[in-house]
Amino acid sequence: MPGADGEIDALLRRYAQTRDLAVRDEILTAHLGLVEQLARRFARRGEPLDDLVQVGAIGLIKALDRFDPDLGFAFAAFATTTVVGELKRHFRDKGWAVRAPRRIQELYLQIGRLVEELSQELGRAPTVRELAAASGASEQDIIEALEATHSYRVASLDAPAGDGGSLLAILAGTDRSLERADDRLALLPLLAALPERERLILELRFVEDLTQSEIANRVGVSQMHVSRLIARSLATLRAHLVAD
Amino acid sequence: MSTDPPSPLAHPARRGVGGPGSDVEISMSADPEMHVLARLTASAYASRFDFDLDDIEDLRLAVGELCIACSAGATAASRLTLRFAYHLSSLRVECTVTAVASGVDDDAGNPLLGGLSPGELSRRILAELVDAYRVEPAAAGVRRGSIEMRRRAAGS
Repeated sequence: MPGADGEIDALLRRYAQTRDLAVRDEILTAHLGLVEQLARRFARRGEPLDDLVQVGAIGLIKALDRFDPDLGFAFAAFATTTVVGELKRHFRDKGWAVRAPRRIQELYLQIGRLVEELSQELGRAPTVRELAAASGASEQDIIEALEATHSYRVASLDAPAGDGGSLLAILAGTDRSLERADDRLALLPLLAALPERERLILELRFVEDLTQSEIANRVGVSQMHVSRLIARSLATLRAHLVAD
Repeated sequence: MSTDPPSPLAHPARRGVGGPGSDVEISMSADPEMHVLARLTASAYASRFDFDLDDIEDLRLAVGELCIACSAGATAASRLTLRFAYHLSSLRVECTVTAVASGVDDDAGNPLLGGLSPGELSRRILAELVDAYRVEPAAAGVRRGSIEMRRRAAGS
């Protein structure tokens, strides 16, 4: 495998003149380590590393096809710019704004199940290190998912649901005593004060319209437990509103 | 709907105005495992000033990269300090790492990086993520760097 600068330069010149695909493959192979390093920088959002390496490799090919060795620039530096641009475009077009919340939700649900399992197994709540080991995710991913999920869930409570409503609107319309509130916005801090899992269950029940059994499967508790948690959450909200 | 009285916690930072009163400083070991705190702080800080999700994500990556770049030659005794400041639609992060070993060559080409040095790789990444960046050579055991990102006008 070519590694020395002189060898790479010679290959780059040969490829620029001949467009020989075998030469191209040699150059690409010599730079896959660079692509992987860059992909790792972007991998913390949970996107599979292999997928990001593929995206980066496309950037590397684009860089090679645009590269002019006569201009005197180092190819690796030129390629880094193109690969990072390709990775950024990938997330902007397809990832961060649209998919991240769903992925975060899925990771959160996975963590939720593991917390239940490990709590039973250990007789106490698991640590981040234990969650990471059990899920296969890194400790950083676990911390970031927990943090991001918290922000997302609070923000999403009043976000439009699929049918045009929001959890706030739907809850206010579902429960007569909640309907009496002069201002549905009063629900927002109350919902935010509920435990994370109970907010999630309310959202799955009233926004995503899942059955209690479906929620039980997704959250990893029994249907009876879901039923109790929904009743308790609504009672908590009602009590706060009456008290206010 | 009644108008709430001003909160005793009301502050320019809470309203996204910025200025010296909204600055945040955190300090930690320069161990790469601690960089997650830097990235989380970056996300939370930028979100207070209405940076969009794409920019927050770029900033988060850039702060991680700045920490990596400034931590070259860091030792077990090294402390990494980050100062976040927002002023006139521009978010600036200054990074200082202490107790940096001298003579660490961060600019030696690495065959696994296509001949790029780790330092050059970090600078290339930063150039793609933020509006301005700077990573200084270590001097007297201290390395400093900074990044700056301007908030884009809504809809641009």
